[in-house]
Amino acid sequence: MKKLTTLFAATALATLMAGSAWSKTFVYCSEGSPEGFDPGLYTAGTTFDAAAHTVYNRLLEFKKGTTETEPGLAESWTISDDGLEYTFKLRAGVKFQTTEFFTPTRELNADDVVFSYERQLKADNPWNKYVTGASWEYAAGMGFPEVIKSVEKVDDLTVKFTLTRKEAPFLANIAMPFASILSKEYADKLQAEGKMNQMNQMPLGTGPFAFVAYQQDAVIRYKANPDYWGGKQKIDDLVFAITTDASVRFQKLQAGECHLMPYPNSADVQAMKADPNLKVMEQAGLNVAYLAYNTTQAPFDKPEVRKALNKAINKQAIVDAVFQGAAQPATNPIPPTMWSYNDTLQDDTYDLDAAKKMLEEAGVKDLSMKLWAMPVSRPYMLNARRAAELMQADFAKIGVKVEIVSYEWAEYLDKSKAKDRDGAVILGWTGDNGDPDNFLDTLLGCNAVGGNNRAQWCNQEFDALVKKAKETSDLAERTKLYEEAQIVFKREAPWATLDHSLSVVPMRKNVEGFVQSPLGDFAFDGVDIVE
Amino acid sequence: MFRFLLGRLAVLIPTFIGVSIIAFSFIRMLPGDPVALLSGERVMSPERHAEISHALGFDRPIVIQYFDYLWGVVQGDFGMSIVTKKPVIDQFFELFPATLELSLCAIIFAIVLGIPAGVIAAIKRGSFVDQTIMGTALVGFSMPIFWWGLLLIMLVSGILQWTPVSGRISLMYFFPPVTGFMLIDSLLSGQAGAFKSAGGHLILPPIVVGTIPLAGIARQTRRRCLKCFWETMCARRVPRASRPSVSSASMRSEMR
Repeated sequence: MKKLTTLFAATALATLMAGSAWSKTFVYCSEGSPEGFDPGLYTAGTTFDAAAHTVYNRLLEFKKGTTETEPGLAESWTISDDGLEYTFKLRAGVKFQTTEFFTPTRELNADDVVFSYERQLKADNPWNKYVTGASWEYAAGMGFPEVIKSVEKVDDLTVKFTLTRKEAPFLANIAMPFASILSKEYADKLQAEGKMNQMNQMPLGTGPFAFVAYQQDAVIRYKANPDYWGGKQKIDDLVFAITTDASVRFQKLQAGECHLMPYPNSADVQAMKADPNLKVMEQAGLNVAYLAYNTTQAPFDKPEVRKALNKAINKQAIVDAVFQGAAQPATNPIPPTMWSYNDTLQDDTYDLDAAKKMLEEAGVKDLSMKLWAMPVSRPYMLNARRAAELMQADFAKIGVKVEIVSYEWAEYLDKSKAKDRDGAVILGWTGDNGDPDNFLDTLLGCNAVGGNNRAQWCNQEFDALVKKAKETSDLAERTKLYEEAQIVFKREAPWATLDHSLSVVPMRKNVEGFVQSPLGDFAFDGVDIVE
Repeated sequence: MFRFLLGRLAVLIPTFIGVSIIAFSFIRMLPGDPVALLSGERVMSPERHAEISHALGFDRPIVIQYFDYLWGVVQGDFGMSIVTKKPVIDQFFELFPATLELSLCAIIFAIVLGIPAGVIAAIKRGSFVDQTIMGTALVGFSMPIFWWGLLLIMLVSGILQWTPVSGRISLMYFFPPVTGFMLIDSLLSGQAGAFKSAGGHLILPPIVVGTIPLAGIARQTRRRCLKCFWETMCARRVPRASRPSVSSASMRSEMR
């Protein structure tokens, strides 16, 4: 504690000196406290914004504003012909941050990469259990323990990953925050001093901002990393002012106490747009809300019936009532900001007469069904009960009786998985890595039936396309396969695609260079304040 | 006074045990699986579910879990936060001084305004002043404070721009926590303007937190005062020396 205090005092002095007129401080009113600062341990976006996008880099990075990958700490890579060996050439001369608590003596090398992965993958790595209850949830969720056979150092600047199976989304997966590259030298020092916990409290990496201090539930401070391989940032200090209430964030933004805020109340957005000191960015988020029929049960096993019901859903009304416009009706199962989104597809038009006729033609009479409404508010569906009531009213007009059911959230998730579940379920998904595979195969593939595939939909044609795309590393070819898969999806209609919610980012007018991420990240490299 | 305190303390222990049983069983008896909630929409494999349940101790009988929890609490071990993976007690003490500081300021605010308001209302019983004070107190007492807080932020911080919107001190100031009390730490830091900034951040929050106690205190004070005015009048026959003075009697009643 004593040491920590000295450290605080030293940084305080440094901050005070740097706090003179010419230092540029950017304040971000973040929505919550990070769970910790080791991105591998956690799954929340809040944690990734605070740890991964400031302090750390990955081998590959997402190109700003897209879901495509670009070179990060790896300058280039080759993939063996059988698709199982990925060899990465690391960028030379990448320096780790020099901070009050650690001075690196060497540059980034292959050891750091091997360490960063092995701590998550190997149970016998001393860092695998360095935090009580460490479970490396995200690596497990992306299948890394099964997919990655080994991570080896070839030479100082070359790392070879060997996979157990062909996995095209692998390149997108390693660009994700949990796959951040840590410093092995720093880790070794902490281990030798018996202070391993510090890795999760005072992070040190190669990223654009170096960690300075964290006051729990209040403030996180960073300073621009002068040695950053991508060049020093235009702002000198970055501050996260943790403000959990969206209305208070808005007040702070208006008062000029912060420059940018995430997740506004949808009711405040109009006022934000009207404020002459603010500007507002909007983009479809990496999410989808859907209504999944149980395609194994009559009459929902018939595509005509599903399509008829889809035509009776007024998506615009749902978007207006539930999101006050801060969403867009969904046509495809993937959001429009994702590569391979098939924009030639037309959505089912809202037409009650046609829907009624289609049902009659399919021989369905006096249908009554259960409609499952989630008990919680999620970014892709703020109020499922309201949406369910709107659908209920519309379905009544075509002679379909709807009973709305709901359960406690964990139970809802569990019960809705069952293969013999009755009725249709409202649920959604927020993407992880910006790869279409993460929606199409994860939510609609045959092997997800009884799990994430709430429609229990196993269509051989769709599944073959998606599985083939998973094993194809050529991007153009993968794009084609996914576009075709979406055509099959739309024809067979296992879901009614409901909406993609918009991610709305209000900021002060003088903020420049902020790029909205379709992945929902908040990253402040490249941001500037102009006076 | 000593007996009074001892009696209170004797009640405290069974209360705490009762509260711990109720809180523990409510959380565990409500439907919903805490492990499944960790993964949200992402479906967890049954093996992984079992592994995490085991690591967190959810696979043991609930009674054992309760005693394990209680034994830990007695030893000052409140367990690890599932979210931050840090000891709960450490996180509690990191933030507790802020709560204490705010509560003290709120209590001072409530007492300093509440008691005179109650006394004035009692003296002017039935008058316009009395009714205004008691009416306002009723409104204050019924106010949902989260909403009251937002309203005050919008008016005082937003429109009038008199006080900062939130936080404990301006982000410009940055010094190590010594006592955890921002008012004291800002003085100790020796940084010019730090104390003023910390003070500015401690205007609206005590008003908001103190509103309900203030209303309660005002109403109680009025009631007790009226009662002892009446008692004092009845006690005319009692020798002056042993007669309770209005203020001390009312104060003692306040303490009960």
